[in-house]
Amino acid sequence: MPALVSAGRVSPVHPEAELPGWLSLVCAEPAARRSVERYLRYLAPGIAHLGPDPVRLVLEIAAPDDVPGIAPGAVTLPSRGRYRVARLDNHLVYSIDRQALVRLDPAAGIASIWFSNTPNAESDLVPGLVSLALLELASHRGLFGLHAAAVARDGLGYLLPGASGSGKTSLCLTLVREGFHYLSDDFILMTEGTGDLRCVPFFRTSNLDVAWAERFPELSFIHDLPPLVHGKRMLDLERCYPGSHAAAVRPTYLLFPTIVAHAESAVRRITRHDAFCRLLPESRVSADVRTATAHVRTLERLVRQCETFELHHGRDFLRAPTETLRGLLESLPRDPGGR
Amino acid sequence: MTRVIRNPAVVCTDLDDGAVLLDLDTTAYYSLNRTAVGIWKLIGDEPMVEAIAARVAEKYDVDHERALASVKRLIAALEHEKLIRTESP
Repeated sequence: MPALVSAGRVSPVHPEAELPGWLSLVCAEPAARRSVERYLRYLAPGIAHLGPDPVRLVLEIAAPDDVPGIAPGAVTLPSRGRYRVARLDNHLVYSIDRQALVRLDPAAGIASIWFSNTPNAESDLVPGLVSLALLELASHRGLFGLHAAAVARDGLGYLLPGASGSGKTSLCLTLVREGFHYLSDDFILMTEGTGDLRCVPFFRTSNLDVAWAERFPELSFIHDLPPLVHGKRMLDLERCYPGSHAAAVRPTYLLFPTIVAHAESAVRRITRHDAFCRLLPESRVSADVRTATAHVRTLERLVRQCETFELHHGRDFLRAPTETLRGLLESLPRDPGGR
Repeated sequence: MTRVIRNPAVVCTDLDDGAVLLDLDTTAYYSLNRTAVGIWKLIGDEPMVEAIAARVAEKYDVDHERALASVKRLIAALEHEKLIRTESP
């Protein structure tokens, strides 16, 4: 287990995180600019991989009636979640009527974001728009997002893809306490170079459940951290477990976590086909067909590279997380790739 | 003679243990069995239904009428999901 730092007050984020010189932010409103800069520092681990080609974010606050819509003549593309999507010339446009519009020029690395800053605006609207813009630009640069935790030890990489509530953070924290290195407990970027597929963090900071974290003495200060909207506390685990960051991970195992009511936890092998289908809902696929196709091919490569399992964590994990998880991982094949 | 045209927004991922068609327009995905993915690939090579059925009959050693019925059934299902479209003269 990595050495622990003092269990006193710990800063929840990296205020000193520098943003790269090739990233520029234009925003005339000082408070909004500070807020977005803070969010960009939070995303600094992922942003670092987007360069060195320039990325320019331009933010404009507008009254609801002044938020631009999708221009006439734009080609309608399939919607993505709450966004209507269109293409106009070399631009991709994501729109929420009267609330927000993101216009992307992927070739130039420019994202222009308009948003309505009304009193009843959602608190996570702007971070969501910034994430959308950066992930779309990243996917055009060969970096594809996946909702997954990622850890590594002894040259083996473990990816845990899953929706919120599947237990990624609890599993990740348990493994980091056991000496695993980690990228993120929630979201990573996949990239294919000339060699194997590897993963890098999009952000590192964990949102810890207080009841889970306070089980561990070194996290007893968790109550001192400011609560987030959902009551969790934000913390970079590196502050408590120095040396636990990994720069990149080559995935060896895909473990799909599920919380079950069973007494005993278990791992169960699943087919690559099953794993691929489970990855799709955890992937934010671009509305641009060419980019989306490259993303799908990367997911295919990921499942071909990995051994694929379900990880059912039951009541024994709640009672004795470290021992339970150690036993589960020891039951995985030691000759990955031999299938 | 009916011509079959794949939807260009559909990506086929053929893994060792099954294949998946992903419609990038809707993000809906569909699992295909081995025979179905074989027919999907044939559609890329040979767009005419009769010719696809002939290739299926040869590959799986079944009579042409039975192959044609199977191919038409799959094509109707794929067209219903907008994964392909068909053109008849």
